[in-house]
Amino acid sequence: MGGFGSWRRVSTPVIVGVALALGASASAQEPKPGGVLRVGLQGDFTTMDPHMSTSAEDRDLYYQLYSPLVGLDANLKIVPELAEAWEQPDPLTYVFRLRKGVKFHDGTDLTAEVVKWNFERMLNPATGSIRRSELGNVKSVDVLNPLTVRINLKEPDAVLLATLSDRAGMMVSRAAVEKHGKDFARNPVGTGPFQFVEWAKDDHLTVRRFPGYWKSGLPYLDEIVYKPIPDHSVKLTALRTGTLDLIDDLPPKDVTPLKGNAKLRVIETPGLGYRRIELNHTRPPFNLKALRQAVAWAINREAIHRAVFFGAGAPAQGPIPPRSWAYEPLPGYGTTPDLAKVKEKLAEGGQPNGFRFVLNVVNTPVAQKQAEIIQDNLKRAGIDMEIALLEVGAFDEKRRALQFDGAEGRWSGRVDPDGNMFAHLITGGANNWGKYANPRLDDLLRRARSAAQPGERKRLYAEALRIIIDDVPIVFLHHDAWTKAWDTRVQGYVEIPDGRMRFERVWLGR
Amino acid sequence: MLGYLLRRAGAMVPVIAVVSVVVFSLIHLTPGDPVNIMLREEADPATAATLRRQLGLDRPLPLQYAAWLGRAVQGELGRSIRTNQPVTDAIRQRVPVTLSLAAAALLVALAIGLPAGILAAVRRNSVVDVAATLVAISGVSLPSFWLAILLILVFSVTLGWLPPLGWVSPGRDLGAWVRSLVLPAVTLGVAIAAVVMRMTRASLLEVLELDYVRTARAKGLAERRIVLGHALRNALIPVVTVIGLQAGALLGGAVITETIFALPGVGRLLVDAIFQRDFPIVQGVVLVLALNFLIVNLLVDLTYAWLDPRIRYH
Repeated sequence: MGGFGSWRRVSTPVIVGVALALGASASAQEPKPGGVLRVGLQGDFTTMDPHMSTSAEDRDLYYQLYSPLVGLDANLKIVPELAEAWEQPDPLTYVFRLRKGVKFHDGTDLTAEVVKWNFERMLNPATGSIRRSELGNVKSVDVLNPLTVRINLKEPDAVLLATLSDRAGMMVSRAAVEKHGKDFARNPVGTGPFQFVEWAKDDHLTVRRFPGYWKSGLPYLDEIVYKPIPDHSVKLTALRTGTLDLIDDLPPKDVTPLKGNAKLRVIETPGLGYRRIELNHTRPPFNLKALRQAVAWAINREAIHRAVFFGAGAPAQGPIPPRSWAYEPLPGYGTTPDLAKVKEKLAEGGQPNGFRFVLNVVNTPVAQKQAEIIQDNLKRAGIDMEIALLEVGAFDEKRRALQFDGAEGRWSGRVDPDGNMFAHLITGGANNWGKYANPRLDDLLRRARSAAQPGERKRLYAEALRIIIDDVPIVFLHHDAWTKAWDTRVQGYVEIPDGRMRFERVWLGR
Repeated sequence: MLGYLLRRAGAMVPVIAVVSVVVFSLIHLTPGDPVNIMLREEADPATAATLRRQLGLDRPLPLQYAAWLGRAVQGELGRSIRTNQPVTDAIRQRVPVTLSLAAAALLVALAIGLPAGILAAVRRNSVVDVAATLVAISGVSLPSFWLAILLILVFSVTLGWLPPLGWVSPGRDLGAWVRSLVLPAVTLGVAIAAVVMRMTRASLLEVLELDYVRTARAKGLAERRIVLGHALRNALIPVVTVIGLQAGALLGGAVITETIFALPGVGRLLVDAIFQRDFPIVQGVVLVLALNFLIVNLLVDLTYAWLDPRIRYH
């Protein structure tokens, strides 16, 4: 990501080549244009305005409607999208050169002015955009010429490019926002491969091929229809009966039986996020390091991995998934329990006969099953854990009010390791629910955030991870996989490890 | 008659007012804040505060209620916190689905329940009666999610006759609309059919014991004419009451059936809104539901007079 002063550039044909090579494992045929792809989703989208979105799942739509400034490849490397090249003349400055001739679905042009306006929209407190905190380091944006923008930072920010590959980098049409105001959320206009057609909430959302898409020849599909289907077994039935072509977010228990079906393909992508237990550091028992360690060492993550997730994904020993460049195996609590160690830690924490605590759990089947396994693991180690199953609103309220010992949680994960650690572990961080505070870790995470060279960042993260696994601010449990299943006639799908669906290269065979 | 209608309509106002106050209080008493639920893990306090201010959620509750009421009497129910969609649009979009489903389910219920009830009463204690009673008891006892899945497996997966899910508007494709309603309507209708059957049977048996039926028989009228022409009409009054109550409940949306068949009805809108603490949607939907219930009740009362001309309203 570094390389001051040199334009980073990968021409479009190279990306196409990579994508085709990946798609080729599914089929060596020529892509066939046309057809309607029917996609089954667990829940409906919330808004079509990427700057206002608060739901990770919304992104499954956004990569069709919008293009981000930069993209991700299958190895999570940053690649050009709307910005065909960028440079970082100094640690506080990014200069992006925009692609020429990019049109919004309403016919307006993507210019440096529009990009500047997009950033200012997100940064303006009156917009109420959740992107504002993601772009907290952006001081100002300047237009250098009609196709070049300069982003000025308050502090060095190694995470910015990863942030711009997501919703904060998605450019919306200024003309459309000015025309529709708040209703832009239901009348979206972007530069993506598909344009919006209609949305009947909880029934379907349709997008159609945008003929003026800047990647010529793409997309292949004529139309995509998204259908939210809350019931898993019905969603599966719809796939089996050919009512749908592709479904998302399969429950782990349903994956194995599907694998034997020759008409269907199942794909499990190791995700970037994690499941965890947040610990309340402001009161006993978990204000004591030894007792936090006792819990961490007593959990059988391998059993959770097999019984709850049926072997999809990976047991977690920390916030960084094995797929990340920052990952490294560390000494510390492992995938299977170590009861001798637990005993030692209990004695060290002054509770040789074990102790009692309550785990707050949101009442979903997966979270409940996971909690029951943990309860059993801890019982064997002499720790008595009570499970409090809560509705999501009540869970949230108690967590914010620090009315918990432990709280089961899930983080969807970010491309850059910073997104999996910083706000969760830093003193006063927005996601640091248990009020953990460790100045040494704060310092490491801050330095890693602004370090320019990946080698330097990796070293800093390795040090931070050693603290995280020893001090147990949070008990990490599992890295879930993104699971999708589709009819074998769906071709050319390129799986990006952020788990989001991108359909510009997908086509229908037969 | 007109005076009666006006009085009934006038009586609806305090009922609706009480419902809206109760719903407003209950949803705000429930733990959970809409902005926090919406932002979930991404919440940073500054953004949350901005959103709360924009949505007017930082004001005292009585003021929030007054503001809502002021707009509601003008037919303006606000916008969804979650999706920013106007509440009236969201409801308008769902009503055709719920109305179709309710009508189709009642049709199924009447088509099965009435003939079965009449047969069971006329052939009291016969094999037909026992069989109809058994079917009715099973109909009431079957959980709808189980029946729905079973119907999908048989009629969509195995036979491939009907779509397993989804909603098609009648304006787009009339045939597809009917096909999309069959399975959910049967799922819902079977349980109601059982209630209708039991009620018809009991009520008809009672009427068949009355003097005027004996007189009719003495006059030598055909049994068929006696049952269908004379007795049934009187026997239907309690049946209509039951159907009215069921219709009112159906208009509130059948959440389980709507969820399984992925139908975008009122029930799903309301339940999702409750989970997300989407106050404007919850208040708007409950308001409309309460109104529906009152109107259905009024229609039921008017039907009594049509069935039994001795009943008069003043």
